[in-house]
Amino acid sequence: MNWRHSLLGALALCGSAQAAEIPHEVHTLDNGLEVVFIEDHSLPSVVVDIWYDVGSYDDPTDRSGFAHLFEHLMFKGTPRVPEGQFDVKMEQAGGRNNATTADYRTNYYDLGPSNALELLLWLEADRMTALDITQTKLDVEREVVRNERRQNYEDSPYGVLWPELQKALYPDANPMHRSGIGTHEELMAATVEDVRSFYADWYVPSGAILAVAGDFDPAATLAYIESTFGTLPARDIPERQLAAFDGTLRTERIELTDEVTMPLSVTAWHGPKAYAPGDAERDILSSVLAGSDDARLTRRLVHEEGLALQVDVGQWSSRWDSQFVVMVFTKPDADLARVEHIVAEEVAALGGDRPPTESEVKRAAKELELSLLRSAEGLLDRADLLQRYRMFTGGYDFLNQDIARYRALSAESVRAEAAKMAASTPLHATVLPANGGEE
Amino acid sequence: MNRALMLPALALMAACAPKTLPSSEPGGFPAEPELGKPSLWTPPVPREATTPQGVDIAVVDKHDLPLISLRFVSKQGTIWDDASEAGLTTLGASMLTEGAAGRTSLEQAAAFADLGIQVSSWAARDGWVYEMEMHSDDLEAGMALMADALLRPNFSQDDWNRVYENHVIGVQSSLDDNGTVAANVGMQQLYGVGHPYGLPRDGTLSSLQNIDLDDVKRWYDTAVVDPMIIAVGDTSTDELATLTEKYLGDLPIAAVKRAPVPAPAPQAGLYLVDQPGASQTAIDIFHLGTGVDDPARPPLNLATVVMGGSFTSRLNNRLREQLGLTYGARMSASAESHVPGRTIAYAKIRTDATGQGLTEFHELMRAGRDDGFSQADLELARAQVLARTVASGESRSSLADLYASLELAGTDVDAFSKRLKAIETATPGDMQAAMKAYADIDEAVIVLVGDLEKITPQLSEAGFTEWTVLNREGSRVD
Repeated sequence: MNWRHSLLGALALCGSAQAAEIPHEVHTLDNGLEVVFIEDHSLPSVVVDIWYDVGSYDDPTDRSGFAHLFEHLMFKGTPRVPEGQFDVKMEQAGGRNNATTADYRTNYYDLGPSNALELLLWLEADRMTALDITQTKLDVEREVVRNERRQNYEDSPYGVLWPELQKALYPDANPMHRSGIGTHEELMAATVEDVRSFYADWYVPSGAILAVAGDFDPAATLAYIESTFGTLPARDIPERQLAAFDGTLRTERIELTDEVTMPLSVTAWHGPKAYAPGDAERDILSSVLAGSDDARLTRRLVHEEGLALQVDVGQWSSRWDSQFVVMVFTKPDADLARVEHIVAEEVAALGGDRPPTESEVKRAAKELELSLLRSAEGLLDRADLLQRYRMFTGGYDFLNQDIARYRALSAESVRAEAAKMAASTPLHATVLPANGGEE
Repeated sequence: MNRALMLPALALMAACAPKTLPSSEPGGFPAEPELGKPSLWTPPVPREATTPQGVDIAVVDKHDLPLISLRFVSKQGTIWDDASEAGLTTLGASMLTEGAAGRTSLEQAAAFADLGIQVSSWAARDGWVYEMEMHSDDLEAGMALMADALLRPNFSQDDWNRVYENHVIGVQSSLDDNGTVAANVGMQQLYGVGHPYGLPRDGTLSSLQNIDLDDVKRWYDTAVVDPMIIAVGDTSTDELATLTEKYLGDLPIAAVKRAPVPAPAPQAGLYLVDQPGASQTAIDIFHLGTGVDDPARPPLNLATVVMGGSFTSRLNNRLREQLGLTYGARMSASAESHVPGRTIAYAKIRTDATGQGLTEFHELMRAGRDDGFSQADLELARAQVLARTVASGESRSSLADLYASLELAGTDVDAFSKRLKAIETATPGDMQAAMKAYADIDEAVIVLVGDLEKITPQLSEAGFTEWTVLNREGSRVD
């Protein structure tokens, strides 16, 4: 079954008040694989970007980090393309690739010259067909992942924070309680049978969306996709049992130490999932608090009170919920209680006696709109943006709405969201110098 | 039934077929496709102009989105800082995003933010860059604000106190990362202690003590040297030239006479820096490389791709994929305009396998030097270099960054395109010669930053008997 999506012409994102959309067409193969094409002949290059509907949220019980470990194993060879040859073939053709695992999805992307498109598709279809996993391959790749953990979480300044933040934000029974990188112990417990079972459950055509972007012929490419991915049998992915979650924190305060010079103060709230009511308001709030040097929190902590070097605020919205996170990198001798108090005070003020002004909201909306336009430039960025819209909103035509939801916001709706945050209990976390700041 | 176990039998039957045969397997899956011929892409040549006051303009117009990436480039880089004042140019560039034209730093920030313009100013070794990402409707307003920043900076004591203090803490914090420490120490030993290219662009904790606001004002007097404005996006050369004349007509362009940069004095050897408790050791291996337009640069680039510039590269394949010692191993070459550039191989290796990791680096790099490269190596590297170049054409900001880097390096798009063509004619012999001349591990500066109590016994056992222990800023520890 194929259906063509309406096209809105060339990427026309002209002027702040005009319509914007990323031209694309969508097809669905008989086995359920959805394919989205983004045609652009301005450079002789292509991107293949597959999102699988499985992420670290779906890590099996007592196997934290498994979805990510599995992502690594997808590069370890098939009966048709033996170990090492996936990358060799791709690189010989001028291609390169990588993959990432989030809580809500795993994506595999390939970039290369346009003459390599069929090879990139062939390689992706092949590893959706069969994997050749052995104990040796699992053992070696497990060590690579453990080295990734060491490099990015154990030896990286502030890296210790991220797994602990997840633990504190969610109750033990919620899959989000586990960090995506996993623990050494649970990575060591993974078996070849776990790998085979996970692959059979989740890596099926109906659990994937294939985006192709760049310099290609859509008709010929669709025919090629039919001849490769189309040979796979249809099968549904498991029905996901979502954990009930009422937004209650598991822990309200965590104190960590690391080999760092600047103490870090973190305040985090749970919030609505991506694109749900309240999500856009929180994006605006993050900008009002720290979008520029004169934004409220940066102005106060960095410029007026001289307590901090840098303030980062983000609404990290995802498929299941979101986290509104305020990170303040403070001076070594800063009073962290005072920093925490100021963060709470500024959020409360936004919801109370110093609500956001119309000009603050308008400025933030423009900043977010320009950021969206920039994200529509690169081929992979465009493919990822459409994939994200599809997964989170159910459709691809969302760029206009995405921009419009910021333009439509009133200062009052942003104030109301801030008031909601101020009335709830946030998580407080600190990362302090391990040796008390002494060399 | 588990499909992963069911399908291999079918697939193996087809794996025996010649891979170029364009027929399907019995299961219906097609044979590996044949590749067509790739297109050689070279960056668009900017339209150039020079304003009456001597500012060069370079524009690549792209009108599909109402966005512009703009770079103001001045060739007054950190290499011209006195060693005792290392960090001065970086601090000077930072002060250009503070208050200007009587507006406070917060008012200046607000003016940019109201327009949605992202602005930053940063220093490289060969120059400093003031950059803006903006909507094309706001080009004139952005140019006016940039002119205030460049022509009328406040240089207020309050701004300086905050910028300076934050910068010093930032430099202190950077020493928390063993990769940064290894890179800083390696550059110092490669070019020589006190050499302009050996000093960190941000300065050192001791050099920063010698800098005050008066020094920044003095720096500013000659900060604009041989300037160029680069714009990629929804504008034109005429529009940018007109706006440049209007807003930057009084730009003070300095005529400076410079002494030649001294030749590097590499101190080959093994250097260790202690980081107690580290679970990985940062290993960085430095060797002097080529100049910007040196004919050896293309084959050296190809050699580094094979050694450590792609996922299947020899270093990554051995250290990560076969031995599981690291999350990734890399090698790359960069060029400089005033002195030879450098070749760097690096990885973070498990602490308990540091001796083995360093031995592997030696064996693999010696093999590249002594045994050379195959035609297949060359072809893979060539395909990689040419394909990756195309990525720089994808966005306005990546193109603007490319042109800015060429300008800072004293070269241009024509020379860049010629280098790409030279990639097509290089041979495996050229690659091996480049490896011998510019990446010989037996003449390299090797820096290890890790838990010395745990790694020194391993080094001794692996046959490394001589080393020098340094602190995190590169001074000897007795």
